[in-house]
Amino acid sequence: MLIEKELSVSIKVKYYVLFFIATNYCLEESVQLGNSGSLGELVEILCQKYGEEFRRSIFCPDGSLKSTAWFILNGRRVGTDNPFSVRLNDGDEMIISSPLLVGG
Amino acid sequence: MSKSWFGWAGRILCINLSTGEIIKKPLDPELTRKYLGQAGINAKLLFDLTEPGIDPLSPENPLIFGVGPLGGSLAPCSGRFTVTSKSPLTGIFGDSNCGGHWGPELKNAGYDHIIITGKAEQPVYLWINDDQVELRDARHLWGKNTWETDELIKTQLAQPSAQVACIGPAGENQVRFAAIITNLARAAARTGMGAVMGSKYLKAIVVKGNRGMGVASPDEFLQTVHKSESDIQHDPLYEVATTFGTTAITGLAQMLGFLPTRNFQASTFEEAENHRGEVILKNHVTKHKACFNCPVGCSRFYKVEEGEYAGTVGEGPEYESIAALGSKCGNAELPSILHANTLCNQLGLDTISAGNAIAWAMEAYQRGIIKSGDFAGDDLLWGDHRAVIDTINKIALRQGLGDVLAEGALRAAKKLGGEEFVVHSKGMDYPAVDVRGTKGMALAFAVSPRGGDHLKGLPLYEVAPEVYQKDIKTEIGIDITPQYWAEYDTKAELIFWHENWHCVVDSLGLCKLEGICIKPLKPSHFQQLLATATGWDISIEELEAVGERIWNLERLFGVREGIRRKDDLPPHRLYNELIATGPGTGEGLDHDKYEVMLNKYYQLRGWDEKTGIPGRERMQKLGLEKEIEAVLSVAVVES
Repeated sequence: MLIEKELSVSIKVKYYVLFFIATNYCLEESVQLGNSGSLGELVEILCQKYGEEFRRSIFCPDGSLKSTAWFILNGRRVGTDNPFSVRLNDGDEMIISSPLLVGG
Repeated sequence: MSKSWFGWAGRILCINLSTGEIIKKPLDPELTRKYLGQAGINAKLLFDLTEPGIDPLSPENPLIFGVGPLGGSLAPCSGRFTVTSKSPLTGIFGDSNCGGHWGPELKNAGYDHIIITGKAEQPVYLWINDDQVELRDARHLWGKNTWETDELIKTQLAQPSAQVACIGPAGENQVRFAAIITNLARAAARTGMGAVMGSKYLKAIVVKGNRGMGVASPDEFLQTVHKSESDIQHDPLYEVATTFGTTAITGLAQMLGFLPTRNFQASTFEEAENHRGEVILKNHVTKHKACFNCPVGCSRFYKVEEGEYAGTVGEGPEYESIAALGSKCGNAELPSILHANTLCNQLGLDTISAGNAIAWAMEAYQRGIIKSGDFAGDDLLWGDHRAVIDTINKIALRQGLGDVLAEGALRAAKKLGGEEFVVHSKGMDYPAVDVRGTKGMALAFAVSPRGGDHLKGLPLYEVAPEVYQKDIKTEIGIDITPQYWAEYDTKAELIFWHENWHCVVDSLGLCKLEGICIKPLKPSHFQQLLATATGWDISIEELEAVGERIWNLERLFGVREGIRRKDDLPPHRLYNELIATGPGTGEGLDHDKYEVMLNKYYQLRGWDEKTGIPGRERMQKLGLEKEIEAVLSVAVVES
């Protein structure tokens, strides 16, 4: 008999720039994911936790991903082509950030 | 205020410190049409007033201050001014742009430019109160830091709202990267303008203005102002700029792997998390702050509450300062970076060159070029924050190793060894971007007419192209890809366009953080603001041609001093070594591709591919006939 083992995926999430504000000044935290372990699931958990301001920081009114929302998984930026299907693994580090200015 | 001028005040103030002569001259309208104002007219005045080969720290080198036609107006972000001179750091064209409130005050006093020549017999300061202009004794101020000087002058003049631009001990001691400071923390920092001021025994220029300025079409101008403000406030990154300023970059630089660490030996810093703008905001920011008439307010006041540096207060720091005094020196201690930033402002030092000089010295120590005991008390271990603070003080006061570093990292290396790891172009230290990953910036920093620098032609969205891809396509006609930063193709066109518009923005009197051409103010904004303020009929194409003219004039100044193609290559380390850490590991600059990119850039500019000297035909087209002939008459053209 096939026994379904429930996945327990723990992701370290760091919030940069606007997402730091949208999470009420949270620098980083661990987030537990359920079965799918996808970026889409992570974003949905965070939207439910931090509410509309956070959701508006990620999505345009038409539901598409904002160009100012960047996901960096283990130091590599997640591509903009269907990013929410990207699979996450236990121990991954995800940075959610806005793009940068350079200067000063 | 002359009624014939709108935008400009219409006058130039000429001060001869050797004779004490003070003359007010009318501004030449033809000069404004060719060079707009501020940085552009400053550059033209410098070119005409100097002979090649003069010592930048001699009385023969003029020091020129300028404010643009939009400076001090209701146009958003119009608080800038530019200081221009032959640079004591590089020996070529030098200028530095500064915010705050000093520039608008100069315009309000009725002047567009100040030309300082000669040298005073003893320390003086210049007091400008509208039409009353006088040189005053500053012997009691010599030796004071910039904060003390600002307060003493305002108190003694009983003018608490006067604006003070002054030097600290670093400028007095002619440290070659000394800054001029206004409003305690706004710095005309790059290229050593503070040293030129110190060489003239000029401690400060104090301004109080009550004359106001006029615009040609008030209603239309206001409409344009409101639209510009709205466009700024609806920019996708407005909230980033207004909340974090440039400190937002630190975490991202680490994340993307372009954070210079230990004198560019690495491109990620293991302690960068502690330097993030978010950490500064959470733990140290006490209040946000804006320059004159700025709807963004990107600056911040800070305070250190605990530990060794408790009690430190200041403004900033900018990303560049965080990296220069932090990761470049391997320094993890954020409070020490805040303290070092305040110290640089008080002593009057460019944080970038100061940090780079210390980082170079730390690597020289690492490699045994500088040994323990060579200079009393100068053990320069990576990450030693007390050594960073101590060396800043010694540089400003020219003590021990500080006296060597006060000459700049390149001169220090020529004296002690280790030239191959001075990260510079044309003698000026690089800002905090590892350009091996960003090919456009590699070109932009290397060809900058004032030396290694990010503020003369920064292609801002090379690293976040998708945010502004429509704008880049519309304005420059370039189709970009998600990995655009890593490509060489079309970068020459990108840089050419940005450089021209940077010159325009610096000559109008606006801030480049918002007016950096592809975000959120664009050429159409600049054209409309200028036209409605001055009454000029000017097209966007003509305006860009003015920018191109200014760029070439700054280049011609360098060529007159011997700058050639070899000087347009990236620094040895960034050109010949690969990135050793982080996401960009293994990335480097391909020599063949860089040379092709440089050739393309020269073609666009109309410069000779072999020598890098601007071509006579293009210069004639730009109205620089006299200037190119003057340069060619002294230049030894390489075969």
